[in-house]
Amino acid sequence: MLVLSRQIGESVVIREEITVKILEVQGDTVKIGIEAPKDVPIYRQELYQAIMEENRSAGKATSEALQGLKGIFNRDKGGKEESEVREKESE
Amino acid sequence: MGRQTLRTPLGEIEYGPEDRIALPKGIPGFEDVNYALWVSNPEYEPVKWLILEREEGVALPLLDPFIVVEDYTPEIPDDAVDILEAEVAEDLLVYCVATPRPGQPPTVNLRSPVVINVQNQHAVQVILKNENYPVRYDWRAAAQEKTADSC
Repeated sequence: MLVLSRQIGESVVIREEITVKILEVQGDTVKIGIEAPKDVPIYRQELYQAIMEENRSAGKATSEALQGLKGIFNRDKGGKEESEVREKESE
Repeated sequence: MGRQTLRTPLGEIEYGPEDRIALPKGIPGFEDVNYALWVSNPEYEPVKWLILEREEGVALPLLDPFIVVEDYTPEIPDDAVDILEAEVAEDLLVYCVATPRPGQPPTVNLRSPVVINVQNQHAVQVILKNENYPVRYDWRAAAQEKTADSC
């Protein structure tokens, strides 16, 4: 990993088209500004992590959970009472 | 090319080239998988399935997001449009991954929908800029809150 020290107001340029600027530092929090072409995706790392985890748990759902997906929309149409009854039955 | 079979969590599935979707970037968590099957199983309608082509076949349940959020307005990022080689918006289908949870309500990922170009059968799971769309959205709880508000 490349490590650079920067002061507030200073920037780093990546591949001549992306600029990362340090805007503010307060305690543990650093506020950065990023200028990049529109087609460069930028997001917080933990968001990607959350999506990865979500895909993994969606993909390895147990057969019990898959059963739960069946008829979920029919149940919605049946209204709240019916769904409560069914939940009690399954306990 | 003849028909092939794949063992999946939904049972063994026979498929042809017309059922295959290319994933040029893989999808988060499965970056190395570049093909999937697009499967409809009447037992689970309206849920559709994206079955990743790998040893055990991972099955991702997909929901039409407009069923759960009527005013869902995903703005597809430019880089995804390029990868999908999409020419007109009408060629794009948008689906969201639903996560079944044993003993808990299922949730749907509104933040990163799977966008499919029906013309070339390429798909990308995009990440939307709109922070109001959660990764885990419990649409049934939201619907009940809405009903309660209007009472």
